[in-house]
Amino acid sequence: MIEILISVILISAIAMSGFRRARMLNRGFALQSLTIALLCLAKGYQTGEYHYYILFLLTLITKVVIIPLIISRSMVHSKLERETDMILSGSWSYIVTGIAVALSFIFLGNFSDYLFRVGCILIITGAILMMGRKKAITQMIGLLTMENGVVLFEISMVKMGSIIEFGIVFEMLILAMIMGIMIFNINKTFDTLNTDYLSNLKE
Amino acid sequence: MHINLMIAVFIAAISVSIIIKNIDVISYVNILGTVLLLILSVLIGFDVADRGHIFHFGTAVYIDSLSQIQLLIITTVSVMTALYSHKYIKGEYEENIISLTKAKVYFVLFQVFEFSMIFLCMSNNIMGMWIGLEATTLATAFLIGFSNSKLSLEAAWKYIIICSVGLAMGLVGIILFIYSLNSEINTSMLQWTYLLSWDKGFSKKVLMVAFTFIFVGIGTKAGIAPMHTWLSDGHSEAPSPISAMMSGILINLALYVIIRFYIIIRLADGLQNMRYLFIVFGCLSLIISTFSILKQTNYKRLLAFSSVENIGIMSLGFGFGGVLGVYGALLHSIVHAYGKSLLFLVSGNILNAYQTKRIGKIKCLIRTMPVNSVFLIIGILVITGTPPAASFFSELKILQNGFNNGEYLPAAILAFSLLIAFAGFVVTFMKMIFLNDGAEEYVRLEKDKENILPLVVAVALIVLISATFSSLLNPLINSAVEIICG
Repeated sequence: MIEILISVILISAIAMSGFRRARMLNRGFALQSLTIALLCLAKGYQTGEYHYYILFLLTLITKVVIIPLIISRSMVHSKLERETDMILSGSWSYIVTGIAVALSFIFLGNFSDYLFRVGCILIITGAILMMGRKKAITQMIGLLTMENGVVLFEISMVKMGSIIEFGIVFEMLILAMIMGIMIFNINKTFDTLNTDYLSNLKE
Repeated sequence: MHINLMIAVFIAAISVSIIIKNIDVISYVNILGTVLLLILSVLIGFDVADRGHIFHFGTAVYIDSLSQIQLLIITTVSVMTALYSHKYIKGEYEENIISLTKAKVYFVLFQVFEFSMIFLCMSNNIMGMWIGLEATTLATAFLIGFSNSKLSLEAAWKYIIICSVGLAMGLVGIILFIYSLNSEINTSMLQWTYLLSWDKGFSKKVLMVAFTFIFVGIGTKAGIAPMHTWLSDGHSEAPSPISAMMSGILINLALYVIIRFYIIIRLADGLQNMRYLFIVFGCLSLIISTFSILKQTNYKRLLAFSSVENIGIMSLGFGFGGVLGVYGALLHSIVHAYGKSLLFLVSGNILNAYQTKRIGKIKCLIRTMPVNSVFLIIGILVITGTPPAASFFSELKILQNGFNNGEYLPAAILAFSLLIAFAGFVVTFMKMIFLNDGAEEYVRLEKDKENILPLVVAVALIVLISATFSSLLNPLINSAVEIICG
């Protein structure tokens, strides 16, 4: 069961790395978060520890419902939702992600846990989304994907306790809200979401 | 007791900022709140001096002399900036630059920012420290983009993206750190005091990777080069009181979190080489920042680069590792907090009068703003480490330790950078203060008299520290050095 969920996360990560439309990226992110939530549920059922159930609920509420809603709300105001000139084109993104998948499965063989490797891949996918694209909204989704990867790390390696987990999830939510408001402000002031125009501050 | 009162003060101040609709009342309550927090933190200081360290809420809050130093820096600098914010926000509000809601948002975020820093330095839980750091990012992101201009929005976006990625990497480091403990994992392992008495061994390779992640990730927040790119933009575009708080306190606190982890890492045998991380990144910060100082055309940006330089000096002090070096680094962090806040507040006054940040457009300040010029000169002398100021002694101690340890190259880079930074500061600011090209009549501006009180407080504190660091403050700093050096 857990293996199937992990493979869904992996597929969503690979697919997201090449998407051009912000709406598709948003759906990919929601699917990914839903799978992570279900993973927590499965882990909780396996081990019988209640803190997995809390994590399941928190992820479901914030990352599957609220954050995708914030993203789509901030997308409404921008005119073009499609990335036009990308630094790293779609096919190249797939190739880089493929290399990352291969490398993390070769070099991280010591960690028997699949979750750890998939967490690594999610972090790399997030980095590709942040560096290879120019839209502010894609950078936001990239950052949130990275955070999903860190959550997988956390599930696979340590136990944080419910209060700390609540703190982390809550801060992610606030972060997404702040970024959403900032994207709105950037769109209003610059009349674009292309971060190429955010380069007035120089030495 | 005192800690409960602190929480009560915070809740009261924040609810007043939300409910009341009179800017004057809000800002007086803000000042009152910061003063009360200062008094409480001094009272906590007496407890710490008596008992060595205190626990509260079970083991959730832990305060020893290392956190006590940070606590005192936070509360005193906050008092200065709260005093400054009163006239700053009132002026902007009366000139209709900002709305009432925005002014209220400013004060709420100010409180949240201060409280999250206090939470950070009191937390015994290593994840609590991380959560505090992330909370400061969230509170300051809006404050940097406060004016909603193109430049400030750009700086805020850069800040939130770079720092969030940095802190995510720091979280990966912390997770690996806990994993390296080689044992059945339970939640009490997140307590710093529990980790300090850890004797069951570490897996060293994982620990090395973990500390590198922690250093680079949280170092992003500390503004250590080459992860400093957000700092020069963020600190120069934020409103001046916020720049003062970020430069004075926040980068110290990020370094404090790294030091907390470093203290535990030193317990593992064979990881003494980890101190070279501090030395290498410290040298990089020094070189990059000093040469950037030389070519700046924006005075607030110059001050921001000077913060990168000073964080480099501190991390070299911790890297050299002897008692002298660590003592110097701690003393330097204290003096730098007040000196840099003073400079940012003065630069805020100049910005308010001239409405420009360009160095070339400001001339003959000694005629137009004589009072502020005097404070500017004092600030420059303190930050560049001119003797009687305590920063001279802290830099001297770090240098001395470097040469004693035989780290000749880093120590030479430090000495060279101090020289260049001094030259850069003096050349730039002397032009701004004394250059009189006779092109126009320079008369004294009305705005020279505004907002002088916080500057006086800052100078008084610098004088106090310079006079008493070897007597009154000595036990506090020495016991913090003992915690770090073990």
